[in-house]
Parts: sequence; C-alpha cells; structure tokens
Amino acid sequence: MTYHFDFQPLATYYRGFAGGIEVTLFLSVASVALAAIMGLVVALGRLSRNRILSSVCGAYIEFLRNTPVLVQLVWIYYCLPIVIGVNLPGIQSAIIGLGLAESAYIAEIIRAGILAIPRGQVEAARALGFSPIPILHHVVLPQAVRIMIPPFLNSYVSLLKATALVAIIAVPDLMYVAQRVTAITFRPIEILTGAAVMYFLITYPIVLGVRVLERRVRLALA
Amino acid sequence: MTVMVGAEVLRAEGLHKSFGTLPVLRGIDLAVHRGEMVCIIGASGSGKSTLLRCLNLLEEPTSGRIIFEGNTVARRDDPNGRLVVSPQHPAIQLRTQVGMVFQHFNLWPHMDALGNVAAPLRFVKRLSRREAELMAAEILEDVGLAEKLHAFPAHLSGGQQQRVAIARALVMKPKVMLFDEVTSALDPELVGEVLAVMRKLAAEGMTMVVVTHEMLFARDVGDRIVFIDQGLIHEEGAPGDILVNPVHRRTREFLSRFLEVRL
Repeated sequence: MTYHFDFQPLATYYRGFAGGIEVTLFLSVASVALAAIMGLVVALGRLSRNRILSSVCGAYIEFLRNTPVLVQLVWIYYCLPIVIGVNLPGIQSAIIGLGLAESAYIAEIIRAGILAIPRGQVEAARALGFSPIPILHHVVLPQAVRIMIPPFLNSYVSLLKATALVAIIAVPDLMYVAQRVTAITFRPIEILTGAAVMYFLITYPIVLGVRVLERRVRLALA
Repeated sequence: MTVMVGAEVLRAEGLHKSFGTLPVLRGIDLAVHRGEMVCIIGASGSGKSTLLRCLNLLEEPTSGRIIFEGNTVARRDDPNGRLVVSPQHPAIQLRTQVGMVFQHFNLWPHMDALGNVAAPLRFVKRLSRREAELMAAEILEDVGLAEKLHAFPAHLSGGQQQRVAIARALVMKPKVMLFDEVTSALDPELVGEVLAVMRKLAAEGMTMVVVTHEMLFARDVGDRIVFIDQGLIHEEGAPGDILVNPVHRRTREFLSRFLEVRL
C-alpha cells in the first residue's frame, strides 16, 4: 500500500475536535438527566396498580425500545415542528430525542431495581404502619439505587455512543466535526480513526468504573 | 396457666377470603382477649397465615369484619363491594397497634439491628433519631441482643434476626402481637431462644395470636388452641382438651399425623 498517513489534521483542527467533544458530553449529560426524570415517572407508572396507567407506560417503553433512535431523532427534528408548530433547534431536538429514547431503558432499570427488593421487606414496613412514600424512601430506594447504578451507567455509555447520530441533524458534536474535517482534508482514515479513539477514551474509563461498582454491589448483596 | 381474663381486644367476624376463585377462609369468627395467647394450629394451606394477615389488613378480607377494641376497623358485607375502612381507625393506625412477626424475619438488610428497630419510631411515629435509638436499644436489650446493636442482619444468626424482628414490632408498644410461624425457618438449635422471648412476653401479659407448629410450646404457654382446617375453625378450647382429647375427627387426624412426623 502506498498510502501515506498524515495525522496532522487532528492537531490542526484540535479546537474543532475539543468543541465537538464538549457538545457530545453536554448532549449526553442533558439527555440522561431528562431520561432519569422521565424514566422514574414511567417506571412508577408501569408498577402502578392502575391497569390503564401501567399499560400506557408499558406501551411507551416498548415503542421507544423497538424503533431506531435515528428514526426518532429525525422525526423529532423534521416532523415534530410540523405537528406542534414550533421550530426546535437541532440541539434541543437532539436532547429530546436521545432523552426519550434513553428514558425507556432507564424506566426498565428502575423498575427492575424496585422489583428486586423482596416483597417481605415491604410487608414488614406496611405491618408496622409505614405509609407508601416512607416505604419507598427508607426501605426500597436505598437498596434499589445500589442495584440500579451499574446498569444505569452502562446505559449511559450506550447513550454517549448514540450521540454520534445527532450529526445527521446538524448538531456540531464530535462526529459532526470529524465529518467536516474529513470533507476539508480528504483524510477519512486518519480523522475517523482519531474520532473513534476519542470516543473510546471517553467511554472506556466509565466502563472500567462500572466493573468496579458491579463487583462492590455483588459483594454488598452477598 | 391463666384463664381468659381481659376484655376483648381484636375480633374477626364472618371472615371470608378468596384468592381469585380459590376460597381460603370460609367464615371465621375469632375473638382475642387482653393478655391471652391464642395458638392457631392446622395443616399447611389451611388458611392460618391468611387469617393472621387479615387481622392487620395486610390482606383485604373478601367479606366480614375486623373489630379492634370495639371499633369496626374494616367491613365488607358484599364480596363484590368495596372494603370499607373506618376513617377514624384506618388500616395504618390499626397496624401501629397490632405488631406482626414473620416466618422469614423480613429485616431491612441496609440497616443495622438498632436501625431496624428505630425505623418505625422515626418514620411512623416521627420521633427524633436520638429518642428512637434510645428506645430501640432498650428493647434490643430485653430480647438479649445488647451486644448486637450495630450488627447488620447478614451477620446475625436466624434466631438473632428473628429476635430483632420481634423487638422491631415491640418498640411500637402494640396492644396485640401476631406471630406467623416465626420458628419455621430456623435451624432447630435456634428455635429455643425465640420461643424463650415469646414465653417472656406472654408472662408479661402481652396479647398474642400465634400461628405455630410447635405443639409443646402451644400446650405449655397457650391459653387457647384454635384448630383451622380448610378455612374454618373446627375446634377450639384449652390446650389440655384440644391437644390431648380432640373431639373433632379432623383435629385427631391432624394431631396424629403431626405426632408421627415429630417422632
């Protein structure tokens, strides 16, 4: 192969890449925050004894989990403005799209965490005269949160990687910057490899952290 | 052995309970008097535990009434109607006055022994943490666990865990204690320490309803034995009568089968 590698553009455009990373991180944090709030609401609805509420929340989860995030993003960017008559900037569409998609997964994580607490513990609290909110606050959540953190972080890593999709709706994230620099420099191998390495350097430390936490949770539950 | 003395504390009237189409209780009338220990015996699946769980409304009766200290706490006359819970005596208030101990202890694993016992005082009675822990420590001493205040459930034996669970119920100063096969999940050598605590409670005059397979304990400490079979009370009376000279055929069968197993 006579190809001459030239990684210089990665250095030349480092400001652009730094800005892209910043947008990627901001997007992931903003969408996971939205997802956590929506996820908690939907999880509690799913666990509710009210059948209609539970079915609606179940349908929400299934619909979002079984349609491509790319389609959801593009739908929110192009179709939602037509439906509600409000134009959303790309970054806001991206946060809503990624946040809703993620909320379906978070809802299932929260639901599983709550269901993992043995029924007997809740019964013991009820038998002592606890009301539902103190049971959730003092008995269920302190234990459930410990169980939820590792899958929550794993899901966050998936979300972080999925943010690369927002380049398609012109949000200037890391992937978008990489495509622009590629178009300018005609160096797709170097630039896209560089971008992949940057994503890896962001996500891998989180994955390592999750492994440590998972071990701790296992020990704590043993 | 004391004869039934005090006034009536807790009463179930015409109690029916079905799970789906499966009838579990088919018309139970039971009154519990102050200071009395009522032992409920019967085969697995006879409805003993369900009866106990209806008494503090952990299970909603399909029909019948629960009466606590003369007040109707819950009533459902029509099986398809709503359970009417008295607004003056809602289930939550009933449960603060009727303690319950379970077969599998059901301690909260993220709190130490002291935390478990103090929790109902803090989160139901709204006492300060300091006050709650002082009272909790005292009760834990009473059940012989002064050395284990800061042990977590995972580091306690089954017998110790069950004594913490008893302390957690007692700390609310209940007027009645319900015991649901509290020694059935214990290794044989740990049964004695739990029964000793219950014996002491009975001697102090606590009103108790005890679902048990410990026939010797029922005979020695119980004031009255109630034999339940297929959701009905078949026979009740003093331990000496029921356990020694049962009248009812089913009681005789149960006891003979039981004694075979024991021997």
